[in-house]
Amino acid sequence: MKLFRILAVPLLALSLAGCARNAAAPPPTAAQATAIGVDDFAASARTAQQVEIGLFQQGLIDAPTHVAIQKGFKKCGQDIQALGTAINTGASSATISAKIQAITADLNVDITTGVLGVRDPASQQKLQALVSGLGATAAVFAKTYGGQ
Amino acid sequence: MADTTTDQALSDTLAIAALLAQLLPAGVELYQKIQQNNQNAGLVPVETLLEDAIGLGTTIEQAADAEIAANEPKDGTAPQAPAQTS
Repeated sequence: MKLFRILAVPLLALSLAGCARNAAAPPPTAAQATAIGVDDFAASARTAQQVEIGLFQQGLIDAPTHVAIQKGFKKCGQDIQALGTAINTGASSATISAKIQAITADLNVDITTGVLGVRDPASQQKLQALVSGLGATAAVFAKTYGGQ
Repeated sequence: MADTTTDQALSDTLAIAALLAQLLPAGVELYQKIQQNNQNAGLVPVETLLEDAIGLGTTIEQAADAEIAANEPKDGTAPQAPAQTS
């Protein structure tokens, strides 16, 4: 959280500047906001995965830790597919809520635990920032969906 | 849900991406994608957004499978260093 506070001021300006919506776009519905949140989360997870693979290729993460983290990303990828499919096929609210919870749980258990095994401090810090971002993004779409 | 709450949620996600963009080069592309999603919010159908997310989920799973297959010991033991020759 300290990191978030340090960068709060420049971020505020950056995020406000970036929020200007296309003038032709109507306000998003709650369903659209949830779908955007899921898509944003998926893109964030893919970025985090690519960063981790890059660190491994640079020799900054050992093979067992890399495999453990990638097993977490595998579950995360499966969770995203299951959630997207559930919403797209009109699954019940309870089913969708369960799949959102699964994403959060798998993120917390598998990926977060795996990142703790990274011995290089700078690499661990980068990955922790990415995983924190993923958790926060998941919380956003969980809140958006919960508000429907 | 009130529009202000939806806008706040989208702004929160963008702020997180902005933070990552400042920390990591890979975060810049992510920030741009999320910014584009926000700017076009209300224009893109739910199905299109979710199909994109599902595609990314598939990519993540396939990339993870490749990394696991390439780096996990096949017999369940840690990889052995090559025997040294004298």
